[in-house]
Amino acid sequence: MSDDETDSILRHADDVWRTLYRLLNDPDDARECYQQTFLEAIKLDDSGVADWRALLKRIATCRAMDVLRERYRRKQVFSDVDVPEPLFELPPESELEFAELRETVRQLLATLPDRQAEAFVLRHIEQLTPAEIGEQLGLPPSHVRVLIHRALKSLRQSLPKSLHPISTLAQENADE
Amino acid sequence: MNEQHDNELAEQIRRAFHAQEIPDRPANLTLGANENNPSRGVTGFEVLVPMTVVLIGVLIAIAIWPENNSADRSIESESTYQAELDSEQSVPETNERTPMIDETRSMMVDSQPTTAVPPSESETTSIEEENPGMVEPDASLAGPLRKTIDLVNQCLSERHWRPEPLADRLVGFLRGDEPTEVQREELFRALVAVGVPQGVKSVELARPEVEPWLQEPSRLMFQYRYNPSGLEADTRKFINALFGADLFDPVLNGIREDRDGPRVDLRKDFFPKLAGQLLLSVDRHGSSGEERLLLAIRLTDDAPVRILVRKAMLSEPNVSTQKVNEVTVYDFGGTVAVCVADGYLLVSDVKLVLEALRRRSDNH
Repeated sequence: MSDDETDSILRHADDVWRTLYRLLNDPDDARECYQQTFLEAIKLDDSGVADWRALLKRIATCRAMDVLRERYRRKQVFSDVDVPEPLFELPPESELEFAELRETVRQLLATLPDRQAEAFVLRHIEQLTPAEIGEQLGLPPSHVRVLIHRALKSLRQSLPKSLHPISTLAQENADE
Repeated sequence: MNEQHDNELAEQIRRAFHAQEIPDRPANLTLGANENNPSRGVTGFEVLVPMTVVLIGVLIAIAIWPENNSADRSIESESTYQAELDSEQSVPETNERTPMIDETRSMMVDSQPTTAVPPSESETTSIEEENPGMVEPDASLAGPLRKTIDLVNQCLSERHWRPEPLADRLVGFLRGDEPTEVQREELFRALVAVGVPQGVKSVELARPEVEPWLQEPSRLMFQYRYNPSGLEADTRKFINALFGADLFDPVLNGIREDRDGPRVDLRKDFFPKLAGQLLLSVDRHGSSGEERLLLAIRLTDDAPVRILVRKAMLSEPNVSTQKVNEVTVYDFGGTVAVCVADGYLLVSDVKLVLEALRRRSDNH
């Protein structure tokens, strides 16, 4: 890989950092995965890379998922996980709910099959299109949609009711 | 119904993750090694130290083995080594040494046809012959260099290696102008200082043929020639002996294969790319007379070494970079800088490297 090509991938450094931090919520883990992401990228045969941004997000997501799986495998007991999320500028209630939702989703993602988790993160957190995800995973977009659907189904079934969207809860109550 | 729920849930999750405050990427995060926890991720210890050990080993091997015939210089017993030293010390300095030196030099010049102007007999001077008893080591003139050589000698002696005279490797003296008598005497004094304790026996004066941007009239420039074909073997021997274990090959394999490392192949991309010439530029700096060294290692092929250096530096968290006319300079906190330019691997403090590169830009 030439200097210019390496420079071109380093242009996405901030994107990679945000992807990792968002998923991991831990500066040390984010730093470690950041390094692994770029080392992995610069060792690739770059001749066929059309979209470095998507590729880097995919690598970063894979590395972050590795860390999440290891993190929660060590903790083992799901309910014992602490959620020491800092409070920021959002109203306290919303931020607390968001923090709890994020942490719970991280834990659930760590239990999903690898590709389901990757596809879900890239689609619904990193906002890539199914076509972009399919290109990175080597799958047709329709297959990507199936993976995302399965991931969502698992999340819906595993998330505590209290973390479901209010409108959904209201609808369910009405149905009952 | 479930599809609608899923869409709302997905949107809720998106909002939750995007509401999270994310700190700015740390400014010193090049490739993200964890500075606070060296046991995590790739750190300087895991990557840079082995790389540095190998590179220093290379430089020392260049400086120590005149013909790279290290098979003749295997580790000897202390008694044998001491006996030889005693024997050498008991022999008075006479012209008898000259043929050996000339033979060595002749071999080196023959093996390096592309280096600077081959010296003629008239350009060769034996310090000890021309200046018997009047040359005193000038410790101030080559302090850092002498310290380095002393350290190497000490290291070698402790490991029962037979130290070879540094002077046998020093076959060229380059500077912008033909030296005056005063300058020549100064040079001799410097070389004697450098050569302690091995002693410098001869100097060859040669007109500079290196790139103009590497020349600086105010500096003393020393040129080493070596046979690069045996350098890897010599470096292996030196490093293994230094650490008392077969470390060289595992270290090179680790640098090449470790998934967390830079994955550079020094056997393929470094050793074969060395051209057999090393320039050492020494100057005095500032009112204190502090000396600064600039190493310029001649390469046969820039590109693989440039990529190798880049990959290694990207793994190091404390490196900053700057560009001078398309040349990337990797700076280790203002103390040591490395770059590859016009067929040379430059190693020095950042100011000297930048000065050289600016001269290069002006020349271009």
